[in-house]
Amino acid sequence: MDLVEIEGLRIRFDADGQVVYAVNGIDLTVAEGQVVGVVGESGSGKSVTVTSIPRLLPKTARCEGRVRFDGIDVLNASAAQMRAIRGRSVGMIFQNPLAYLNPTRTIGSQLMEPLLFHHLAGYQEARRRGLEMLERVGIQNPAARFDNYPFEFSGGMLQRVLIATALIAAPKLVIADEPTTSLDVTVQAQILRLLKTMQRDLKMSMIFVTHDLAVAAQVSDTIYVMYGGTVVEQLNAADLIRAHRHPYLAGLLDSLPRLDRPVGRLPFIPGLPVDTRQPLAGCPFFDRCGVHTDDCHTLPALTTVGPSHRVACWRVAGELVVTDPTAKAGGLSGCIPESL
Amino acid sequence: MVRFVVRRLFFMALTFLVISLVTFFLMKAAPGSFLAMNVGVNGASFGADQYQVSPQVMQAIIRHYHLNQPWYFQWWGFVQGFITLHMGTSFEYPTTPTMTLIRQTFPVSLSLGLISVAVGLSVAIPFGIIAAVRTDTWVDSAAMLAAMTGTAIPSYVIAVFLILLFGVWFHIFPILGYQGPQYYVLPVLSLSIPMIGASSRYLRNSLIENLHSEYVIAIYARGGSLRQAIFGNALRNSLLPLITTVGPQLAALMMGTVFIEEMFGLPGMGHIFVNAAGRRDYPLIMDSALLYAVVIMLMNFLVDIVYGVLDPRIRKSGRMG
Repeated sequence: MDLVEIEGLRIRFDADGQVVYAVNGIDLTVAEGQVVGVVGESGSGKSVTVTSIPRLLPKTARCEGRVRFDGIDVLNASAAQMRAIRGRSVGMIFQNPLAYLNPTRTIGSQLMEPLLFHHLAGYQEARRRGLEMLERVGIQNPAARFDNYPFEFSGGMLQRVLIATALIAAPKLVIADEPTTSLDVTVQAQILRLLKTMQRDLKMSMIFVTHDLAVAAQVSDTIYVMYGGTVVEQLNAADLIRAHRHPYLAGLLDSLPRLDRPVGRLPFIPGLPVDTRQPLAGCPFFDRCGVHTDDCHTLPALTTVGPSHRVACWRVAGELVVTDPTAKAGGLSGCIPESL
Repeated sequence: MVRFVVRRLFFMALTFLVISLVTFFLMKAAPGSFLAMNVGVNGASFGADQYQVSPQVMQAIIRHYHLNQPWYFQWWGFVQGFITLHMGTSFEYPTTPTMTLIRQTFPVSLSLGLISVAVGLSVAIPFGIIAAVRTDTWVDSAAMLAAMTGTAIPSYVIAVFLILLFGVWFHIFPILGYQGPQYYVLPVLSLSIPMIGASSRYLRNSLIENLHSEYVIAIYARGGSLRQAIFGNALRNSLLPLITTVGPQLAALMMGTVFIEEMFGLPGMGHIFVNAAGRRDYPLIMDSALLYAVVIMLMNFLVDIVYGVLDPRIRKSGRMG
């Protein structure tokens, strides 16, 4: 059994009569020790999806489907059961570390909290382990920094503190929600390396949420590409460039600047992101897809197209039964390069 | 921190001078004078008993109080007298030095104000917490309706209501004079009820905002409970800004004591202040106005210092205000 099993998850937000359909049926699994990258643009539902695992969504969220973590039915678990998981079996790392630390308390006191909340250690022991953890995430002179306040740290240092906090209780799963987005590029690389090393050393599973395909490919084993609250493609990170199939992912990869091509205007995906205020009818990418057909008015299911490779696209799924290789050449050329 | 204190003290001195000037000119601009009011209308009035109306004595009085001197001389006389605590005597109480008058009456007003703030805060804080935790339930609505009503009704109207309720109908508390602590109950309630309203609303909103902020989500993510989120974190961060509202609240309260002392017959400074203004008792008007100004400025100053000490961002960076 996998550590995380999400099946048919739908999440909508109901606030003052305004409904937002954030997640529209998602399947996602994380095996023990696996790193799963969740990639998508803002509003694609990636953060909402992963935040539902420790059930930290705001009260206005309505969830349907099934979320299992470590054998616990998260959506139906009691509040006490959930508290017992958070910080102990699931650690969270957030995008903007300064906002996620209480400005009026020392970083040390916040760092020790997972141990203290779960009675895993007394104060002295927690402090000792906190110092050790700070050292491990690369904070110089941890004893002196322990009693500093968040405003006395730089963004990169704070993110290290947040990582130390998330990992101090040695959780089975760490959820990193855009951990490098607010950092500058050199610090980004350091933080990524640190996360990856820690994940390997502590033998944890990790869900890594990002909008950066390159970053996702660097850290993850498996990548889920999300669009409009659905997973449009799931594939091994190693296959990302070679074997991607969905028109959206193709468009994304196409729009990356490349050094091995003449410099010109970058291609982009025309159109606007999905309006999440409407319930999803059909493929979320329909309006922006250059190859849509009449089939695309109904939502395609994730279909297996190879070993640990699934795509939700009528065109791609349709091709599987098409025997004549020349038939596909027209519409999809450029979308699916050499891999077929 | 030292720089902040020095700067602040400088501005307080400046404010003090401005207040003294404004008070002085407003006082002079008010029609009539103590002598004219109490002598001119009818000879049997209160003042006429003390001041013989012969021109010679009148001249002597005018000289004694420097009323024939240029304005800046008079003004500085008041300010200097106040600063050096040699205030002399007033028109109305020619035999009691103003210092003695203040010593006798001001503690009543100040304690009334401070006790009201203390009572107000100790009721407002639990009120605000309960309303914030039970947001959008009937508990919240009821608490906030009560708070709004309390804020909207001025303290002297509340005082009348309290006198009716506790004094006239139920005979629980005395309503006039000062012979023991129980005489404080109704005045303190009348002053603190509006403050409870304002402060609990403030705390509720600030606490709700804090409870929805990211750092509280992070506490839940570490396995913390609502209790830990409130008492270890959000409450403290909401109380910090609440402290800053206490200064202005206290200023409003001290002004409120002027009415309340009149209504409950408390022998406080407010009573003397009002009488002095009504009777154009120049020295007493100046001294009481300056005293209130200094007390309010000092309280605000203290509140800011406390805030600076409690908030690590200010304490450690040393930047304030």
